[in-house]
Amino acid sequence: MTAADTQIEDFPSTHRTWLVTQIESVAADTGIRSQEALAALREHLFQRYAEPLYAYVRHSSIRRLGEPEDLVHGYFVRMLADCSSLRRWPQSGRHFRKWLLSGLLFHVRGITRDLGRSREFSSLESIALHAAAEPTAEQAYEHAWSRQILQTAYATAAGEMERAGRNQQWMIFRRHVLDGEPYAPLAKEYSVSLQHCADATRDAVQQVRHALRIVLIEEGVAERDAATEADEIFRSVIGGPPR
Amino acid sequence: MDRLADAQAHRLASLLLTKTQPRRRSRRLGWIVGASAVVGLLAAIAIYSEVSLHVSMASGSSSAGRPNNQEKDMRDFEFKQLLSAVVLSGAVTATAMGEPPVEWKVSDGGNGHWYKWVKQLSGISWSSARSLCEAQGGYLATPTSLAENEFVFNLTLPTSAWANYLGPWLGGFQAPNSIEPNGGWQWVTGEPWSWTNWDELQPDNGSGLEGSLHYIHFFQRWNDWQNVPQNWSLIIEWSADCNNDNIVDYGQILSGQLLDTNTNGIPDICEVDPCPGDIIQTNTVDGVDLAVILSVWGTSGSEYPRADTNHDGIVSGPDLAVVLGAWGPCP
Repeated sequence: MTAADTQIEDFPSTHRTWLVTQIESVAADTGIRSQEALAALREHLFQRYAEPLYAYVRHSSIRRLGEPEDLVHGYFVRMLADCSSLRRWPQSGRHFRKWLLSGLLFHVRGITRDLGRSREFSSLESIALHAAAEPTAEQAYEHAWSRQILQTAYATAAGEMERAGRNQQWMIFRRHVLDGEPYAPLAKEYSVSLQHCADATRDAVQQVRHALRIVLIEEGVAERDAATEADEIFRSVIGGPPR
Repeated sequence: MDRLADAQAHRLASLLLTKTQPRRRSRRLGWIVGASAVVGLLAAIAIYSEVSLHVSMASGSSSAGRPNNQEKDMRDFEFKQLLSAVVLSGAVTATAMGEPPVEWKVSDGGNGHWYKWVKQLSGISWSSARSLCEAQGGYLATPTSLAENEFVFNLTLPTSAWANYLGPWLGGFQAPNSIEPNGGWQWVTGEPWSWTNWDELQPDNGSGLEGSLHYIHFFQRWNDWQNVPQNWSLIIEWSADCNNDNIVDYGQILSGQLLDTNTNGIPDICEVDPCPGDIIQTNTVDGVDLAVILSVWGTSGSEYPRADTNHDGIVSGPDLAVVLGAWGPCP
């Protein structure tokens, strides 16, 4: 179990609650608790949001400022070094992922200002200023975030099925739905009926859907909006990354 | 961690997206289905209590204690199985299943055809379903457009229309020796096979024998399935207009506008009667038929509509002539 897992179990209500708690713990600087919270926060940010932010940078004009990894890591380091900006997020009323992207652009704007003073990159500020209005980059960000959320739900469901001793059902689902294997050879291999295969797939799909709903609610999506948000995620994943 | 590849994520998202279409409730849910579901639910809850106690005792945990996840999962699983079995078996034992026929009205953007969901208590194969429809003057429904598919699907919303995840039969089938899994699909009516609404990864000829069309997974998508009596229900569609009045005959039969004395879904006026003088249909024209003619003389035929053999609205001399002219065994 990771430090992040521990923290999530301590604060199971919502992702927002968990994040706020970590941020406040870091800001309070109360010794070990603060360090644990910082580690959990860092791991969570990297695990869920780093890839979507890389994708954004890759498809944005701010790509000219440097490697996506360098820009995003620099952003995270600055944010975690001083949690004052993170502490303002709850008042913003925005989804965390949207707020995080705005934060990156703000961070990049700061870089361009610094560079501009040396007169070497005087036009770069305008690049950053316009970055927020780049639909392709936004699309790449949403796609990568959707992939992360779907991956999280998939992994959670796999864990739940394993804990429940339903590995076989999960494997049938996995091989049929994800790898496109027909039921007939699977039924033969596992010595089960075709009906069993179909039931196993259906159960696993329900498990993934349930896990996704939980992840979305943790992300701060209102329960009544979870189904709509889930559909947006699916469409984004199906649509693929922008070319 | 088992990481999803792009193609896998795409497949999973497609599957989940199509499965999350909101399911609209039918306002015409039969009270018998509802009653059997309630009875089933109560029975399942009672059994669930027993199972919970049994599991708790078997695991040695206190009945007042909080069950661990494994126990809970087992209980939930068994509960779902029991609930499904009891509710569905309740539906099976109900005596009157299915819904009244409904018209997809032209004024609602429809085609004027009539549709009916029919439940077969012991299951029915696709071939038998097709024959059943034809015996009633209709055919297995052929949803050839998105709008028609939605209309037809809404007839399947009662829980008992579904055998687990297998929905009613539709009028699509695959010609023998076609290229699998996509080749040779056609409608029983001969309409063009153009618009389709397959479920994700379907058709797949999964068992190697799948060439019959049905709804699957409680939503509007289609699946190919074996021609075996695993499905419980079917959708009949009526579109015939034998008298060319631009009104589907079946609706006119239902309203009493057209007679269908042998209840085969074909109006009497469109049937070639092989033995028109056989009023009471004993395969012989004899004194009983003559007596019937005389008993309803001057009327429209009353309870013997076949007495008006020429469909002129009154039993009179010409009808008597038909009986006398056809005297003897029917051809």
